Amino acid sequence: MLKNRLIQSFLFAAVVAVFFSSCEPEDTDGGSGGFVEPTSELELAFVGQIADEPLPPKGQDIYKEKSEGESMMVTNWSFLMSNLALVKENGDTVQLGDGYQWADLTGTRNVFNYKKIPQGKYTGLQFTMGFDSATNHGNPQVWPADHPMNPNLNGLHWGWAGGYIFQAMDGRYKANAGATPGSFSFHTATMQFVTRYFLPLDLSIEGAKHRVAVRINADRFFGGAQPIKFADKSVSHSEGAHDELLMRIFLDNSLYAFRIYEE
Amino acid sequence: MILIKHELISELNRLLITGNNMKNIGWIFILVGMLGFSSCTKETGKVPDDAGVYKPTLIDPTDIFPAEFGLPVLPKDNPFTEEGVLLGRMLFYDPLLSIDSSISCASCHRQEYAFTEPLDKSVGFRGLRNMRNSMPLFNLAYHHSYFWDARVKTLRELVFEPIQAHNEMAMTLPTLRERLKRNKRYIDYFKKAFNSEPNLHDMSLAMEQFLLSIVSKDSRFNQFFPGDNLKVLSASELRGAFIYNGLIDFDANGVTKGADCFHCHGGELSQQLNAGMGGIASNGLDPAPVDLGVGGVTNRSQDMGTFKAPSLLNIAVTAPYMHDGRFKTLEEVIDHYSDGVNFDNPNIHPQMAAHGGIQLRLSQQQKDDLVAYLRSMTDSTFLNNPAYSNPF
Repeated sequence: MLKNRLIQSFLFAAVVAVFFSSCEPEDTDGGSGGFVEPTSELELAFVGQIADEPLPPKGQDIYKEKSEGESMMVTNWSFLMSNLALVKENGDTVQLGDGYQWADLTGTRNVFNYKKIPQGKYTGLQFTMGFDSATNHGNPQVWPADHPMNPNLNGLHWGWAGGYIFQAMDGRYKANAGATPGSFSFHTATMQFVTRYFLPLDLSIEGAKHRVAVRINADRFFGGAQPIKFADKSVSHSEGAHDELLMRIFLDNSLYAFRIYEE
Repeated sequence: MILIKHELISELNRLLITGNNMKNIGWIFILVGMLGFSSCTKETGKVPDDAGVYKPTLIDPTDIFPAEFGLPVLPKDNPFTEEGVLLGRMLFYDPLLSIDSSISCASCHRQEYAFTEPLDKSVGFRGLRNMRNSMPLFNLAYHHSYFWDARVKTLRELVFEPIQAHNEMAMTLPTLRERLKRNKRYIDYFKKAFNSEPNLHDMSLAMEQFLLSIVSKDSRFNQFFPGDNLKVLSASELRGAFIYNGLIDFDANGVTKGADCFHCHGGELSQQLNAGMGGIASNGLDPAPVDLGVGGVTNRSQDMGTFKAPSLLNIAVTAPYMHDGRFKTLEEVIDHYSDGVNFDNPNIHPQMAAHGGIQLRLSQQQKDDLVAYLRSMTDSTFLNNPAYSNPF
């Protein structure tokens, strides 16, 4: 009798233990011990500009002043990013999506929405224009058809030479007000020109949604301490002695081209 | 089958119950055997298959598109089926779709010419001429827009244009709908493909499936790309590959080793698919836009005289060349890019004009090598593939 009672008690206890062990709260955001980290949504926009004014709508032949007395019009401008992330106060990063993105500033692909961004204070946005060598020289067809890294989508792969074009900026310029327009073309590629950017930001993420805009002035790529005059040299594809020197200047200047705002 | 099994079991029970087992044992064995046999077939409870004709056989896209190209973005609402692709192929080759039943899509898109035809501008209903050269049809699944002026974004939209164009097939949609509905063959095949009676929407989906399924991937160029397999090319073709894929870079003597062709005609598909990167461009054919091209659709000044850059796969069989078929040979095309670019064209692509408006001035050897490389892009397997041929 006692033995049966003991067995029954043991079984009852076992059932109770199983019951409670299957009642853990749903883990929504990876928190431990039942804590759900509050998150918000982030809208990240990359906005092309010239001299702090938005790029003119497509189809309008509007030239804006740049350095060296020239004026310019951008007809094509897009770039690829990796390691796209927000940077926290303590230096930790929160990756945005899978860290890759393609921004087309003269097309319609320049605003990106990211969900479940942990709330808190952030001090910057980081990204790399370019990739590590394995990614840059890997098979580009491994990316899904609608992924920003698929070259059938972004058109930014050299194919033959291998590797991606990290940034392409094409357009027209006038040497002076009455001049016949010429063309410029700057394509950033090859591992030596992988460029990391960190944009300082004072951002407190709380509430439902935040919008951050990265405003990029195209003219600043050609101005600054080392101005580039289109009439002298208007093309660089990042290979060859002349092109490499020009691309280095182009990218050094670019460090002053970016501004980031919470809007 | 369910009824038969039930009767067998009832009979078996009766035999067992009657008690005269020695006499009945033979029958018992027979019945058990029949029971066992009847159990070998699956009892799904479904109506047998021969009751209807709609049994579409799905096609895995990886069986169509090679891994080297990657999978394209495909319409989710129109998966490939064998029945759908076949119906689309039938419609493509059927002159029934033209008002006087004399012209099919295949009349101007002939497989042996990579689905173009050897005319500068196609001729349609009653001999009326089109305004532009017939475009090749292959690898369309990777494209983001169609026609020389990129005015259409999907193939199911596209098919309605030549069908209704007065100088092509000159058909009206109500007439076409009635013709399809009265055609016994299409009654059967629409049922098989879409479980519907013939209608224009499913017609466009079937044609979309067929057009998307046409793939060219087996040229020697494709075997060579991205440059690992040198043995498949001759010495001249290989020199041509270096010129084609080389950057324009003039030395002190004004000679360039590269011609930058790859910017607008690069990659495994030999075609730039991104509009901004050269997928839609003016290549300086004229000093000022004559045919407005994309500009005629968008009405934007920057688009005037720009056109979709075609793939150069199978280029050796798609003469004549350009949107208006003005160049009869590949040699004429090369001469244009080498010595005849109109840099004054206000919308010439920056990639072409960003070298100070200097003509390439390729040597005759360079030109010959380039033509040789272009000829290596011919895919005989595709040109003769019965899967794309006339099914009638």
